[in-house]
Amino acid sequence: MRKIVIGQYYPATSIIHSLDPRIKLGGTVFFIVTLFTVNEWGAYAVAISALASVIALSKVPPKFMFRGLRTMFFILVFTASLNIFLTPGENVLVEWFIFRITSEGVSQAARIGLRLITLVTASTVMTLTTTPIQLTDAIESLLSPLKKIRVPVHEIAMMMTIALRFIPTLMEEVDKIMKAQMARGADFDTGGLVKRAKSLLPLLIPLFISAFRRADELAQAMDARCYRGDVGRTKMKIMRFARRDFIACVIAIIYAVALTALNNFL
Amino acid sequence: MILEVENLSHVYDFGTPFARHAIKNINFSLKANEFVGIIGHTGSGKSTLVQHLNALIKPSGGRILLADEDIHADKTKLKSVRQRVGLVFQYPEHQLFEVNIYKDVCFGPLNMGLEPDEVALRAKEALQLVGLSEELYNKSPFELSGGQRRRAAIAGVLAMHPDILILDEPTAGLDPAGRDAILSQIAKMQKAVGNTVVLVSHNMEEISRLVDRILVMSAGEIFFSGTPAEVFSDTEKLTAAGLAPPPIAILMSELRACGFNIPSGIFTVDAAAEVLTSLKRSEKREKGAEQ
Amino acid sequence: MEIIFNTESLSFEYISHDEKKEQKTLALNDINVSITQGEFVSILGHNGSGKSTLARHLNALLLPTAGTLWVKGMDTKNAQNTWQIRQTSGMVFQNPDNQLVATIVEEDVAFGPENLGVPSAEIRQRVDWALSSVGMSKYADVGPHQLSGGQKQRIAIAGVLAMRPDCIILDEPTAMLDPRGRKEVMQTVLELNRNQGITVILITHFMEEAVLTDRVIVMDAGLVVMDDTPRNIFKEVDRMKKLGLDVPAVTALAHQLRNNNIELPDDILTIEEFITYFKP
Repeated sequence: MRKIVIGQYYPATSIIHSLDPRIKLGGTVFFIVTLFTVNEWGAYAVAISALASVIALSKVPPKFMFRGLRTMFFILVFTASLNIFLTPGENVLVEWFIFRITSEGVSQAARIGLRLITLVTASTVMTLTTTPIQLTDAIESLLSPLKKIRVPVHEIAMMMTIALRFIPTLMEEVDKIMKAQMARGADFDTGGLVKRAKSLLPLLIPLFISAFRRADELAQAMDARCYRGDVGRTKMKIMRFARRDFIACVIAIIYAVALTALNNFL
Repeated sequence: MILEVENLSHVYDFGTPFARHAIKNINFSLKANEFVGIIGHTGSGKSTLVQHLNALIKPSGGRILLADEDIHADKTKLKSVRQRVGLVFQYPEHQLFEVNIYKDVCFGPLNMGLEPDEVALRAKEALQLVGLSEELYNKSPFELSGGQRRRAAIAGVLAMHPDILILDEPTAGLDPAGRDAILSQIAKMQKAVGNTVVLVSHNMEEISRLVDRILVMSAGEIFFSGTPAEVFSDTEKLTAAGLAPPPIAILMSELRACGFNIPSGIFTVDAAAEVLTSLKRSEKREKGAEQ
Repeated sequence: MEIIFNTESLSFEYISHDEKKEQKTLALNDINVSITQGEFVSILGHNGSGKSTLARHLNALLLPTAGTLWVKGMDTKNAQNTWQIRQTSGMVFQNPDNQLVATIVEEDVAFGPENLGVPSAEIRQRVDWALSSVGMSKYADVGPHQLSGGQKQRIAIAGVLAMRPDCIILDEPTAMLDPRGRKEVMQTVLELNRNQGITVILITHFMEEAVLTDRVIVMDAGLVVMDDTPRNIFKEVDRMKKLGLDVPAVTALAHQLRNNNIELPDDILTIEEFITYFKP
């Protein structure tokens, strides 16, 4: 329970940390899209070295990068094995019963695996270098055109912030209530589906009660601190495009051109 | 010995760069009918320690013997360990989940698989022990005061008839009247049932009046231990453990430094009043004799 | 000195529904108090005495059902004053977890001034100043869940300070803290009062904390029953016990010794005072 961390920000002062969060969010999406448009090894090499340079610039120890991969491991193995066994090809390496592994399959699996690893690592780099609040600010800003069609963008962003703030608190609470009920002989692990669902009530009811109590107190605290939606609200950190953000854009474009060239002409 | 703790240690996040010792080298034992206090500031490891005692946390090293049997020796017996070592958590009223307090108190006995008659008997007896009257049985926890809710939660553990009852900060967040009421109820209950009680607290005064023996924890270890009189007289060691000694103990040691002849082990208002009164009276008598 | 709060026959009644029958409770009953700028006032009383209800009136979270409360001359019942009042008298609550909004400390401190529409550069200055005032500058970048209870309360205080209030109201800020956290919070609040001249109203049931303040208001059943200096309040040992409240151990000891015909002043509050008078 203690290890679940959402919003795994790693504080450091680096050029990547100081980029406008909108650039980082947009850039990550852009990078992931480009990954799906290429299929040549040379292009992968460019994408990976681009990602590696970003990691180096971010000053976050590389071991943090691969934490995200741990949770993805099963999906990775599953996707890769699907590709190994199901890709049709001529060059058969192993054949046994109905299974047959071709060199095309192996190469396809490697590509897909590599793509997934790169994808997950790229989003990890973003969340490691961007605070959750910057991220919600970026989403609020990027979605702000939707305000015109009455989408409550500010409220959605506020809800995201509060959710992020309370996830660790509620996790701790779940752990505590579970232990307290186990001390009274509750059993959360055995029995059929119905029994298990029923056994969750002593956990869920106190959790809901406490969440409502917290929500009520938080609303009062926000009231006391003059919160009234985004009416007349300012921000301490204004997102402003700086020179480094333009440079980042230019680099992204050069990267895209290089990638396309490598993928199509080599 | 009803419970023995041998070389107990626990490491959080074992095998990661964040690994840290929550508790280490813990050795102590509890006798039947003993009333023991554990004090220490937040982060000293006292909550981690008591969660080991009823097998909610598995030790990284060492073992815990309940009536000469390792509590982790047989996995199927964990439930029985948790029944025999009852643990009341901090702010226990937050776990109440049933529609009324009577049903909530029945939760533990029902989990033990007892007959309905026995469950009803135990629930009523436990609610009586914590001083909740019958008109409250059908009340929802929301209709009770904070102090009453806490008593109901304590009854929920008592109804399981534990041999050892552990209370983690039972008075946290209560006002002085609520605090005194809970403590005297615990003392009464211990006399009535005669089980072993462990009281975890960072409040010196409340512990000093009740317990036979105190364990002082600091940085995950048992820093020192002794009777309340021994522990509270050692104001220097208490301060080193990050605890504030009882004000009367400080006053006594300062008076002693001023040359007054005061025996050690005085830390309550009543005891101090007695000693200082007789001191002043003999002083007067001496003066009278001189004249 | 300017008066910051004054009330005239302030009363608050609420209706609770209990299985079909309505029950009216008078939580505040004809309160008349006034508090001057720069005072450090503590409000004592057992649970249900009305002290938290009074605190919530002081920054217009609750409005009187009868009588009037003025904050710097502004009537709290006038809705146009609400935001000005909440900026003037900030509030810190009991549960440190349930009043921090943001996932990063400095963002949380910025929350108040952001709501007030303060320009960005000034918010930055205020946040840095507020964090250093509570001694938490080092923790600007960490998440609230990584802090101790006492540290969280100091962040909550900084969040109020950043709104540049004249007064801080603290509603049992130490009830959920350990002795170390309690000390931290009290030290912070004392410094703010002494060094920055901020009016502090502290709701508590710890008498050790009330001893450190300039004035103690004791409440019982919605009434103000005592209002005096800590020295004059705590010498009423028997009355305080009847109200379900503690007195400092040293004061209680002196009281018992006086009952045993030993000459001591009746208003001893500290160990030093006790020793001075006890020595022959």
